[in-house]
Formats: sequence, structure tokens, C-alpha cells
Amino acid sequence: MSPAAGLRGLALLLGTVAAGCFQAGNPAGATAGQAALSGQSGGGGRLLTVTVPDVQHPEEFLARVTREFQVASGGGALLRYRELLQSDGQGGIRLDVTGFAPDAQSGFGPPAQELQATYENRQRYMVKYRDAHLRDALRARQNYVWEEVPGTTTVASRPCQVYRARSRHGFGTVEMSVDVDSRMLLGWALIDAQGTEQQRLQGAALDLSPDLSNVVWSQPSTVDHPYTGSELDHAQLGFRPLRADYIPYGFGAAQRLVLQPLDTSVAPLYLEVYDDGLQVLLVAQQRVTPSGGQPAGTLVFARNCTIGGISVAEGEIAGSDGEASTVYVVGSLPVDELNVVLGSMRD
Amino acid sequence: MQDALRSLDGVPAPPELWDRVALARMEQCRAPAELWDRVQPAVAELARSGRIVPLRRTPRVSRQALAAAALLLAAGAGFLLLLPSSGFSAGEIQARHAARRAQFRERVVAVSVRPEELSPVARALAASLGAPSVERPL
Repeated sequence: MSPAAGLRGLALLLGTVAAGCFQAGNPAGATAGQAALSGQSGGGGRLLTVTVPDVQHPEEFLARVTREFQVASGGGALLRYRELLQSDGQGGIRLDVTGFAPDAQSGFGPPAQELQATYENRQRYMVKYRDAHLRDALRARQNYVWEEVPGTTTVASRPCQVYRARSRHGFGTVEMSVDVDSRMLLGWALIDAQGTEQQRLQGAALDLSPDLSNVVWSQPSTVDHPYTGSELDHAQLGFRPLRADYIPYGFGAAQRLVLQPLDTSVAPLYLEVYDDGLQVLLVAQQRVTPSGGQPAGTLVFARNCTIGGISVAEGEIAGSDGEASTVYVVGSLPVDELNVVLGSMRD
Repeated sequence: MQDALRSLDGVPAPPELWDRVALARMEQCRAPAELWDRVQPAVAELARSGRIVPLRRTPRVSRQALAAAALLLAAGAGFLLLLPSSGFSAGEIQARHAARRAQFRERVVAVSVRPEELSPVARALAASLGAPSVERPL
């Protein structure tokens, strides 16, 4: 055997070993080869298997983006919101709702004051957690099969490449439309495991040289700091947080926070943020009065609801001090998966 | 050949040239008689131990290729050593995960509720992830 052939054989062996390293989080044993180098190309619209694309997020740019957000409502209708996102590319963002349509057929009307107040209070969380992000490239590669739709599509008058990331663990698909030039994420869609589109955000117009001199940038609606496990944190929370023994496949902890709402009549919240590279899972806890609930590790009575592709499982669990906390598990996963997380909470 | 040699005028000779020339000028001479007596037992031992595989001429391999091959071997060995060894097959891991999942799920008695029956905090968290909020109650 020639030396060149020997080197090629060694490279193949190492590639196989490296692919085996990326089987973490996949109980079915699918290989990372599915999301590795570009494989089959094809005519006739066949998807191309690709690796994780380069994606930049709108709030990282000096930009003004007009966009439309659609979400499936419980009644089968499609709620539509016209939004305006402005960002200075240095952390300053502002998200306003400029129109609302109660279904796919109606035209946009002015948003109600309550809706505007909702956006005012939640804009930072919506941009950070609702809007699709490539949160962790390694987890995104481990947990999703990435495919590219051949050709380009036009979003906000910009040619965009469309990528589809299908969860290896049955947690649905995230579709992304990425501007070819700037790599800005101009559109995305959240599709559940049954193939039903739950949320879609589509850019309508993009201005990369906006005049933002009169913009009032968003301010936090809570005062938050990283949770350190200190007695000071526990004193502020009023309890020692429970821990989840089960987290869905592929999800890793991204943040642990203590949130104090500006309205001090509202109890502080302990928040854990998990992500699988794309989708977010929130596990929050708050001390409630009057106390109730069963001790951790026994029985949890959970309230379940799913709307717009977002599932909620909440229930009261008593800690070792006999006092109860309400635990909220919220995410775009099937609600039963959230129930498992709830049932795994322990002191 | 003379022209070729003259074209080399000014080119420094390689260091080993004199050794090669000196060796070529050495006369052939007979080996001493006792040389075979010294060598013969070792040859006989080799013959008794088994087949003698003739050495082929090894192909010439550059140092760079050898270094690259050694590096790849070391990297491959490192990968194999660093791979976590749980001692369980993929099927066993999946079965254990499923059992654990079922154990935790058994602890939960779940009731489906309407969005407005959720707590305000739950509704706010869901709205932060895009669930409908006010226009159609959460």
C-alpha cells in the first residue's frame, strides 16, 4: 500500500471516530454525518444537507426592520402582528407593534393600548427568547439535521437562503431565511413535530441606514442578576430553588437568573433558561402564598395549556421547608415533555 | 558526459561524493576464512526458527508524510482514549432514559386548562416565547 493510500485510510478512520463523538443526545443513534458536509445535491428542489449556517441576528445590526409575526391561536385562526424592530447594533433595541389582524383574511388595524403595553413590557424578552436565534452552534449541530432549500427566496426585498433545521429528538423544525449578503436572519418559522406551522416571522422591509436619533430604547422591566446559589440570593427569592432531575434531550443550561420585577408587589422569580441550540425552555419558580402542593418527588398537580406552539406546565411543589413554590415549565416542546420536567423537580 | 560535467563548473560537490569515489576505487578482496565460521551459527538458528520473510525494498517516504502519519495516529489514539466509556450500549442508554422519564411522568397528574386559567406569570412567560397574549386572551 502506498503512503498516500495509507494516509487516506487514516483520515477516513479519524473522520468516523469524530462523527461518533457527535452522537451525544441522540438516543436513536443517528450520526452527525446527517448534518456534516454537503452531501447529495439534486435538481428538482431536493434539499441539500448542510452544516450549521452562519447567521447574524437583526439586533446585532444598525437597522430598522418592518416585519410581520403570525401565530396560530387556539381557535385555529392565525393572529398577525405588524412589528417594527429598531436596533443600534450595540445593545439598544426597541420593538413596537404597529398593527394587528385577527385572522389571515383581515387587514391590519391599529393595535389596542393593552397590546402596545404588552410589547412595551416584554419587548426585550420577545427579541431575546421568542425570536429565533442560533443560540449555540455546537448544540444546534448535535440536535438538528440541517438542510438548505436550493436557490434563494426574497424576504424584505433581499435574496435569502432558506435553511430547515429538523430536531433529531422529535421537537419540531425551525426554518430560517438568511440574507445572502449580510447573513441577517430576516425570517423564521417554528413548526411542531406534527408538521403544523405554529409561528412565523417574516421581514417586510429593511433599512440598514436608519435615523434612530428619536428612538427611545427599551428598558428592562425586571432587575435581574445571575443566580449564584448564595444565601443572599435565597434571601431575595424567599426560598431555595428546586432542581430538575430531567431536562429534555439536547437541552443545556444557558442562564440561571434571579428576576425582581419593578413592581415590588410581585414576588421575585428564579429563572433557568435552557436551549438546544435553537429552541428555548424556561423553568421558573416563585414562592407562593398561601402555601400548598405536595413535597418534591411525590405528586404534582399540573395545569397544562398549549397555544401558538408554546406549551405550559405549572404546578405547586413543596420544598424541604414545607413551603410551596410554583414551578413553571414553558417552551415549544410537547406539553408532556414539560410534565416530565415538572415531575423531576427535587429539593 | 564530459560536456555534462563541464556544465557543472562552479557547482559545489556534495559531501558524500569523495566517500562514494573512494569506495568505488577499493579493490575486491576475499573475506577471511573464519568469517563464515562466525556467521554460520546465527544463520542456522534463523533457518530453524521459521520462514525468513525477505525484506522488500521499502518505498521512499518523505519525512513530512511520516510526521503527518504519526500525528494522525496520535490524534486518532487520543480521540479513542477521550471518548466517554459508559459501558452501556446505545439501546441500554435509551431504555434507561425511557424508564427514568416514565418514573418522573408518573408523578404528575396533568389537567388541560384554558389559557386564561393559567397564572399571570405562566401567561407572561408563554407570551415571551410568542404565545398570543392580549388581543385573544392567552
